[in-house]
Parts: sequence; structure tokens; C-alpha cells
Amino acid sequence: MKKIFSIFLLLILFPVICHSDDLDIFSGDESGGSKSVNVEGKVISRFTLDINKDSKYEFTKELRNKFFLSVNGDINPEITFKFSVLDKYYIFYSDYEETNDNTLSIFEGVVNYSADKFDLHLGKQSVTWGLSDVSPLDVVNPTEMEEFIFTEEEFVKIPVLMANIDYFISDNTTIEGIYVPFYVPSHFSMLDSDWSLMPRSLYYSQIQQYEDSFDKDFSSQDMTPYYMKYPSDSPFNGEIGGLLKYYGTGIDFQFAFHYGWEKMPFPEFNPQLVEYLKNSNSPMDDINNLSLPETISFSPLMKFEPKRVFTLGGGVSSSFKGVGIRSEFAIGYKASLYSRHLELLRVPSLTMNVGADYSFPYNLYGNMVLTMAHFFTNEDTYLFSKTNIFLIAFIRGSYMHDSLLPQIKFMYDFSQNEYFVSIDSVYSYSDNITFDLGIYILEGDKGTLLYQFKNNDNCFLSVKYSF
Amino acid sequence: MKKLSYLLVLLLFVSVQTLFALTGMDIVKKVDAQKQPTSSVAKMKMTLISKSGSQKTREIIAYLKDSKEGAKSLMKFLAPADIRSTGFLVWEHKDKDDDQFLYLPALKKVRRISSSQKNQSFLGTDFSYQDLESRDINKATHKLLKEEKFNGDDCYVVESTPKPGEDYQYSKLVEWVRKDNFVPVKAEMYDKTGKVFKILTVEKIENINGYWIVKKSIMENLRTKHKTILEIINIKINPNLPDKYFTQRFLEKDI
Repeated sequence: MKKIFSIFLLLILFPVICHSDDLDIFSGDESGGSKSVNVEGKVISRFTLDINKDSKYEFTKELRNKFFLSVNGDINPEITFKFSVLDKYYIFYSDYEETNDNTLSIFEGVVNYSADKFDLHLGKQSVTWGLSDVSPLDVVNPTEMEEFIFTEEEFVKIPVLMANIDYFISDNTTIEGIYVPFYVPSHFSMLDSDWSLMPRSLYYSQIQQYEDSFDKDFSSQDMTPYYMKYPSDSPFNGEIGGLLKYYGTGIDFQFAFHYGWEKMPFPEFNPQLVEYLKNSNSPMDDINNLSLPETISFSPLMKFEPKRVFTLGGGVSSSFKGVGIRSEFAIGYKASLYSRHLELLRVPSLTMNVGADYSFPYNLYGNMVLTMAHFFTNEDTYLFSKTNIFLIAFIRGSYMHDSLLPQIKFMYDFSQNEYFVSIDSVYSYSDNITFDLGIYILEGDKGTLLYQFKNNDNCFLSVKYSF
Repeated sequence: MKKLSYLLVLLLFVSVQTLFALTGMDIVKKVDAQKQPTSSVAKMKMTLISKSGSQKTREIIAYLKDSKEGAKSLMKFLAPADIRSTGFLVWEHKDKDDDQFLYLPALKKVRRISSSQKNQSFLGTDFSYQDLESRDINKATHKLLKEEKFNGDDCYVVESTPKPGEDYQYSKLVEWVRKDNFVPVKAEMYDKTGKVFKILTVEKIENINGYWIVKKSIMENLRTKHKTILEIINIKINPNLPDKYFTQRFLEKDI
């Protein structure tokens, strides 16, 4: 169904794309901005060098290349379109192997109809909800997590097929409604990358045991680490949401609700395995140390089956004495997390945050968001605390007329004692070419997500060419 | 339009006035009271030139409209490709802080800009966000320093100093105002230490439909030796611009 839609969209848009006119902003109506077609794109190449080598399986060098091509324009003053493709070509190097991966996909494909009181957007698209920089209301689109936190910001959101309508109550107030017919999960790696959610050592210890035991006549079906069970493409499995937006003099508000699916489903461990881990002090270590027969006996180790989630919340932004202030809250019903023994719990949650930004002298800009996420449960929890408080902040300089943008970014989780720090600098060589050089450091206490990635500290060089 | 939109020092619309002995305040008031259109749309090109001579260009389209509450403006970037469709919306207010919003197409997000960012460079140019705002002439004292020729035109030279307690990025501003049409053709901006560090020079003026329009100007930063040339490529005077153009709806539209 999704493929059919994509081909259909391509057939509709192809003649339009091929009919490219010169841009003349004053040839159209007095809005001046309309034109027939605009083609733009970018090529991004990012080379990453791992600083800490923890095993022969680890990818110590990565080259991630992206080619992005976008076409947008208008068919008439009321109907516009946007269509883009993204090709990702990745090469990974480890002492164990060299591997590559190429994926070409339609990134966006959306047709917009604009009337006096409303705008209608149909097709593969993304929306941004919330006023905060790390918004708990921004839950409509799945996210790209295969590169963990290193994905370029314009590719972090994964566009999905969606019907989206903006109804303009007044010049300042808008109601937005969305319907997402098909489930699309966030992109993430489960076991087979350095940024997998589960420790990669688990994958290789099992593979090693599997390879060593060929004589014992195990088949690949015997050892199933996990399987996915996503919602079917039924219209009743769709997602709906609404957003009320107000941008006024001195203050902005947003209120949102969303009835959807977990985009990042928590793996549900085999009940027998959960029982086995009941008395474990370090359940993840015990899973890592499972023998092959144990793994087979607990197969599948886990299943991914997204659950329904209802999100309700609101936010406000303003500025006071030169400080930009944003705050939001979101109630989640029900959120997933683990008990101490990796049993999946489903509990209500409350997330609140407050953020501020300020421009300091010497062309320095600072931005911080303090977030608190609380899960309402009496159980002892694993991976997340009942109350999680974390700070995300960055300080960025702007020099040589925005040609040089050094930046320090960090996240600290007060509850779990885990953090990452990145230091990088973007240099714009010309209008079209930028370089980004930097380093990422990740650290955390045992049992935390960033502890798992602590051997993935890396430095990187990224080159971007825009046209 | 009681205020003088400062970017639109570039878009000044002036009628010839008869003069008598004028004070600094009189001259600034005449600049401020010029015949101005109620709306305009202009396509502009900004050329950023570094000390070494390397160039970068920005193309923008700017929509302006006067209203009872204050002027409204919307700018959208057309080039370079990397920042295309980035938008900047300003609602000016006569008696309170202006509202400024930035739209970042990569994030599909509208952000309110805090007033502390107003002294920062506007997307790498030699203009600051505050340069793009209106300047309330009552928030400064104005003194006529002298009269002299600039580029062959007779000019008044007026010094404007912010009144105590006013939040302004410059310690003072000295402007050369043409006597014949009251168009400022040069401005020197002074830093807090009293040194001139930016100079705005008007290179080309045209009278279109009875309005004086600055078609080309140069802002030079003396510290960094960097300059920004701002040219109006095309302009429409008094088009019918509905209020909805100056809302988040239009700010978010792709160009």
C-alpha cells in the first residue's frame, strides 16, 4: 500500500518536475514568493573514527554518505507540492569485517492545498509540535536513531504518510489535526551495530557460540534473539492528534493531544527469561552471559510489539528581560519501562521541562532545557528511574560572520549519572560547502544506556555540499 | 508609521520639504515623517565580503506593511540553498518590545527570538537584528553637528545618542541626511567605548512613484573589515498585502 502510494505520487509529480520554469518572484501574485519549481539538494559525507576500541567487532571507522534531492513548487496558487529522495550509503570498518549498506528512499512527498481558512497537506511529511527545544509534545513522527544522536537535524524526523489540516481560527490562532494511517517505527538498531539498543557483545557472543557449535546441529531458527510484531495496515490502527497553536504579542501557547503508538517499542523479554532473572542483581549482564543452549531455550529472547500511547500536554514560550523562556508538560498514558527484572511495565507518566536561551556578549549563545520525567509506579525500575531529571544544554559561538560556529553541547542525567559531551566547530568555506569537525564523549554508570556506549567515543569530520 | 524602520533606511520614501533653521530633533522628525507607502514587497540581494575579498550571497524577499499597532515585516531567504525558506517575522509595537519569530525549515519550527539576540548579527550579515527593527526617535537625543557635502549632496550631520536607560547596541549614531529629500545617505555606528565600528553608506537612490528608494547600500564593519552590500533587485510599492502574510502561516510556507 505504501509503495503504491509512492509510485502514484511519483507519476503525478514527474510531469510537473520535468516542467521547470525560471524563478521570477514578481511574475506571480503579490505574495511574490511563488514560482513553478525549485530543485535543491545536498551531499553530506561524515567520517567517524572511534577513539576507544573495545572489541574486534566494533566498527572503528565509519563513512556515512547522504545524498538528498528535493523538488518543490506550485501547480497553481492554491496547490503546491514537495517531493524529496534520500540515499544513504554507509561503509563500516572493523578488525572483523568491512561492510556497507545502501538505502534509497522517498523522504517526503506531500501535496498542499491552501484555502482561505485552512491548509491541507496530504502525503509523506513531518510536523513539529511543541515550543520547547526538546519537546515531549513532538510525538507524531518517528525518529532516526540508527546513528544514535549523530543524525543531521533535518533527517532526525522520519516523514510518514499523513493527512494534516491547519484551520486558521484567526491570524494568531490555528488548530491542526493529523491522521496517520500506517504505523512506522523509529529507525533503530537492535543488536548489530555499535549503537544498538542491546549490547552488541550479546550479538557476537551468541554468534561465536553458534559458529563454534555447528557440529551440534543447531539451526538458525533455534536462536531467535527477537522478532517484530507491528500493527497491521488497518485504518483503525492509525494515529490521530490535534494541536491548538497561539502566537501572540509577547507570549505563545500550544496544547496538544495525540493517540498513537510507541515509535520506539520497548522490547518485551521472554516471560521465562524474566522469571530466570528474578533473583538477578545485574540482569543485562546475565543476558550477555547466556550460553547458546540457554539462549535457544529462551528464544525468542524478546519481541517488539508497540503499544498504544495517549499523550496530552501543553506549552508556553515568551521572553523576559532578554531571556527566551519555554516550558511544557505532557501526560503519557501509558508509558513503558522495565522492572528490576526486565519485566515490561505500563504506567502513566508525567514529563515537564523548562528551557531558556540567551545571547551573551562576544557572540555567544546559550541554550538549556531541564527535563523531569516521572513514572507512576511502585516497582523498582531498570534503565530508567521513577523520576528522571536531565539537562541538555549548549553554548555556541558565532565568528567570522557565521562562517565559524564552535559549539559545546552536553546532556547530563542526574538520576542515572550518565552524560555525553560534544565539542565541534562548523566552518562555512563558501555558500555551498561547510565542514564540521568534532568529538563526542559518552559515559555513564553501569546499567545505563550511555554506559553501554561508553566505548563509542569518537571524533568526526563532516563535509556538506548544498546546491 | 511613526517609527523609522531601520533596515528600511534602505526603503526610505521622502518628499521635498522647505527648510528653515533646524535642530537635530527637527531633522530626525522630518526623516521620520516622510511620505511612506503603506506596504511594499522587495527582492533583495545581500553580498557578504570578507577582509580577504571572498564573497557570499544571500537573497531575500521582504514584505512590509503598516498597521495601527505598528509595522509588520516578513523576510524569507531565497538563497543560498542551505538556508532557503528560512523566515523572519517581526511585529513592531509602539510601546512594548517587538515580537520576532524565526522559522527554520530544516526543523519545521517557528521560534520566538528573545530580545537578547537583537544585538547579534542577522544570519552572518553586518546587520544586527536590532538594525532591522524600527528605531523610536523619542528614545534618543539628537544634535545637529554640522552641515557638509557627502558624495556631492548637501547634508545635515546629526548625532543621535540613546537616552539613559535605553537598551541600544550603539553608544551613538551619526547620520548624514540629505537636505533636498531627507534621506539618510550615511550612518556611523559607535560602540560602547565611543569608537566608530560600523558605517552604512547609501550608494544609489531612486524615486519610484513619488517615494525615494535606496536601491543600494553598504554596511561595513571597521573591526573585522567585513562588509555587506544590500541591493534591491525588484520592488513593488503599495501592493495589497493581507494581514495573513504576517503570520506564522506565511512564515512557515516554502518559497
